[in-house]
Amino acid sequence: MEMQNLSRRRFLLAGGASISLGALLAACGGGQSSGVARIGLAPDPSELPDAPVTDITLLRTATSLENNAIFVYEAAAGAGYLSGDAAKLAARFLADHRDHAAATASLTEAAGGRAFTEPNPRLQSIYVEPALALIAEAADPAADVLALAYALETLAGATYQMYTPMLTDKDLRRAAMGIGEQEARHAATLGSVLNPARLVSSHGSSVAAEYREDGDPSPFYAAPSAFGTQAPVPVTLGPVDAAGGRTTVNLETPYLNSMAYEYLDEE
Amino acid sequence: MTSTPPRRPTAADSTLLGFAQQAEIAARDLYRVAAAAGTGGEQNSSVATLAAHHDAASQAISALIGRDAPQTRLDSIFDAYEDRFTASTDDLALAAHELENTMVATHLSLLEALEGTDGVALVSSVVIAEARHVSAMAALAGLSPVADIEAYLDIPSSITALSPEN
Repeated sequence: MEMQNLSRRRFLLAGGASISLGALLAACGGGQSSGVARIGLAPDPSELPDAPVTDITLLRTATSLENNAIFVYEAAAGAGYLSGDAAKLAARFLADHRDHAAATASLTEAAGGRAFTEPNPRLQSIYVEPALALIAEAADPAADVLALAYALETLAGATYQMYTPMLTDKDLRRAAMGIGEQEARHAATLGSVLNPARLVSSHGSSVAAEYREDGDPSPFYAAPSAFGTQAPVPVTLGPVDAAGGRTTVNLETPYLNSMAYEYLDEE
Repeated sequence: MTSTPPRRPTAADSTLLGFAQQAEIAARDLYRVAAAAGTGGEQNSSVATLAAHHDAASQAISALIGRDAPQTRLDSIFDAYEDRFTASTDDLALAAHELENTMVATHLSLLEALEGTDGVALVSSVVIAEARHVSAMAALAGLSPVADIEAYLDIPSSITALSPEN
């Protein structure tokens, strides 16, 4: 017991000496930085910018998401992935997203803000660019573009659904959901094309056994559920890997870590 | 300066949401009679599931406003559509297409009037689902998603939102 106490006292003394030596070295450090981490050298902490979620933030984020969709449809058209009726449908959806982006930008300015004119940078880097890279290597790029479009349109509808109750100006709600419901119709139209055999999913609904579907749910339905979803939207894309699987990307609505805050304009 | 809206429905909200519930029950009953009559052809199960969707919306409104929920259907809507919902698959699809557009327009108009954000969140969620119903019914009617794309995507100008006053 005595030995243990002694040892501990010596350890504390040695530790104190180490701390003192460190402080001395730090004091002698001067103003030059070698870039190598060492005691006493720490970067100045930077304050996180104040980022309230205002109506303007929500509208700017909606515009940024519209620009993500525009980017995808333009990329698909540029690569020539789609043809025939699928290309015509995509061209209509592209035109709608351009209208939606103009509308949300106009609402942003009417609310006293500055419109966001770029794709959402975070969604672009974590969803859009990886998805397009997978499609470029896919065995059937046209099918993958339609799958991505279905997921993106579902996500867009879900985003307006999520943002509408957050808007403090009641007059903006109808405008927001007027766009959101059209995004939902885009997804439903694609769902009816991709899965014409079953337009309305019975999965998750309370229906008699005779009306239920057998097996796993399809990834595509015109009407997948009784309510709009707030869950991540999965989409499977790209080539088959060595293990026989394909990559699934889970799209999530832009929230606090991916909104188009006004301070982004200053960066 | 904009004040923070309440979460829970106000008394006026409950009246509006109660009206929406009556419209949902009417839609549910219409799809139920259509499913029972076998209309919808190969999509008869989809028709039955649409009844479940509207039932779910009705129950969600009931959960939100409690005893203020009327739990009765809007007979004027049911009576206006019943014959078309049971006549043939084409008649059903076109009638349901019109009804779902009307439901969407009705719920969009509610969003401007509601005060409580819980009600706004619920109605927004229902709008998304019922907008998708419209496109599903356009497909069931055999309309082309290219040549007839407006039937899938747009609310026709002839559609009028339901309201407790009319």
